[in-house]
Amino acid sequence: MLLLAIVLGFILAATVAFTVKKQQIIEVTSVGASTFALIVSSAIAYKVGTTGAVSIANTFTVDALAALSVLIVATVAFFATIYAVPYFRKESAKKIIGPWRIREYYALTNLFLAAMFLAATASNPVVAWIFLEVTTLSTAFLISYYNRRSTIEAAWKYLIINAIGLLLAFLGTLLYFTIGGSENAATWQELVANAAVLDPAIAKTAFAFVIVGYGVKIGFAPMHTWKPDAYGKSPAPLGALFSGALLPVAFAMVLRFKLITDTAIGSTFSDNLFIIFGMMSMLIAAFCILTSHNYKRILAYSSIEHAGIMALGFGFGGLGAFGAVMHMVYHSLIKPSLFFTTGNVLIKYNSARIAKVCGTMAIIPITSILLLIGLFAVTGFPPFGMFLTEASIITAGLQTRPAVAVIALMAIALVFIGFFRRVNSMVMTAKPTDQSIKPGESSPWLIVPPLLLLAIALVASFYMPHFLQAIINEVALRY
Amino acid sequence: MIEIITQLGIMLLCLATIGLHVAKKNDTEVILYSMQSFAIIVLLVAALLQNSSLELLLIAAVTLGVKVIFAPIFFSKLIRRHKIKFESHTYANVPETLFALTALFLLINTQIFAPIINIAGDSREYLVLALWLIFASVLLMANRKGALSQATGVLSLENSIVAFGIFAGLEQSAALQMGILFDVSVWLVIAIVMVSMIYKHIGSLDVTKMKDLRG
Repeated sequence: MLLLAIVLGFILAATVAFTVKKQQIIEVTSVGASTFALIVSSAIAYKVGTTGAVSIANTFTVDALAALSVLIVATVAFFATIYAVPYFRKESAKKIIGPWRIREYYALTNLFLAAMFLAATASNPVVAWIFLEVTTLSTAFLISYYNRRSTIEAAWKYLIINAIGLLLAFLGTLLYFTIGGSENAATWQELVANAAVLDPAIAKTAFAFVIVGYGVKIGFAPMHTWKPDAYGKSPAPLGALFSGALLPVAFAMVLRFKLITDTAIGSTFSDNLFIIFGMMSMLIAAFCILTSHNYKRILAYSSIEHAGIMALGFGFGGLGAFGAVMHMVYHSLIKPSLFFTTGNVLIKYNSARIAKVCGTMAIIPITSILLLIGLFAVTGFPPFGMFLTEASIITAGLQTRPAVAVIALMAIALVFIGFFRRVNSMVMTAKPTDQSIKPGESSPWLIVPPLLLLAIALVASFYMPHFLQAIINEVALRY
Repeated sequence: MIEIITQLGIMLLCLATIGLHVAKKNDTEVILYSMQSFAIIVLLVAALLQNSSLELLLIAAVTLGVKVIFAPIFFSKLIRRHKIKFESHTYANVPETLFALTALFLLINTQIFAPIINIAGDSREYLVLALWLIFASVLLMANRKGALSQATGVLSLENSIVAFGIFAGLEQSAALQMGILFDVSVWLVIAIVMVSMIYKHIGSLDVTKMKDLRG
């Protein structure tokens, strides 16, 4: 029931945004819905972490993986919504967007959030697929949000590539139902329980379709091509939601199919595919970060790289899988903070091109410091948890596939070099000559969300609540 | 009787898909998509006669409404509004496309796809065709330069997967199929609006003219 209350909260907020004209009411409702979602999701995760899975009329089930996904989505949604309020007010003040655009953002984002909650908790893979498709449908117009040639191009690319990916994933999903028809094996649990009768060749084909199909949504290379464009053209809070919330939800879908496949044919096949896609994602992202000239696109490539690291962790298994689950959590805390800080840069400098941004330390010092901290956190520097998770994944890889682990380590180093070079040229350079760029943060409320997220990420690097640790351990052991 | 209806359905489906590959006008493409969707309804009717299921009747009726009536009307309005009769250019010419379609058919008949084709048991031939339709639809999207053609390609892929589900005996419950149809309808509306926006901003539906995403 609590889960349905969260979804109803988001639907209510979306309805208010569609029907009410007063901006403050829309903002209060959206912040209220996401705050409620965070509180309730924490309660659900606590219950799952202490007493086990919760089921709602067999249609929705919150097991450890769903609880983790729901908590991640709720956390990112909360911070993205409280960041969106001052962000869009600033854009509105600059006449970049009008009142209708603001309403459009809140309406579609709340639908997007509701769809993510439902996809993460659906007991049936086809129901989960339907809601994941809704995430594409609800966000297409948010990518073309600024109504320019380039944003429409990005939105079209997103719509077509994601539609193809999801249809291929649907084909893969259908193949899993050869286990015993949709009546006998309709839920994830039933599919796992009956997986032994799945034809090995069909299991392999089905998983290949699923990893390619949902891999589009995750952003695995080479199916990642929509991601830099969509992230680059969409508003900063949406980028944070894409990277911090949608990525784990889509990843969870692949993990669920991995479990069915592993039960049918053993883990070698799925592990190998995870390692192949993981390596491709890391290497392609590393080279693109080195050559990209747009800081929002760099964040997109960074998400692709981190999806690759997670895939490698699950592919290596054991300590690697544990590292991958933790990595997912840290990534969802740190990456949104980077989207928010770069959002602040964009508001101040009116450009996402690195060449047009310089001397941010002198203009927006707090944002710049947060950007630097975020840079070190996301590239795996201690004391942030990503250092340990990357170390665990690489250590697991060195034991089973040393060559892959060494190449992965080199890719991580390349990403750091690329990232540092770009951020350094934005932060540690001379003040801009353009007199219209006045020193001073645009709003203290634009600082709070990234600051809090980084603080939580830092605390979570040393201390994880008992119930959350139990959930993470269960996910790592199961997948 | 059921066998004849099924054969009619699959024949229509294949003809429409080949037609989509060689069509030069947007209008023709829309008619062919409509024909392809009608073929799906014919297949659903065959399944309905076999199972005497009211659920299938409902699904066939909604499919008819969404894919055979609603979608073509909206596509045609779009074509008329923007006067975009000839925008469905391809990368490969017709002989090359037909050669690729033949190659795909031969590939599907190799041992690689045998495990999937064997799902169907008695109706293996139909599943071969359904699988070929899936690959042909992917080729359609890759080969077309027009945004409208790409959207038709996505919808054709969805039709092919539905056909695959029918022949493989992997149809989902009515509620789930309605959910999927709802997604398809919303996707369709978004795609039509987006195509219109592309035309408004770029003055063409040729996706090769969209070159603003650099850097």
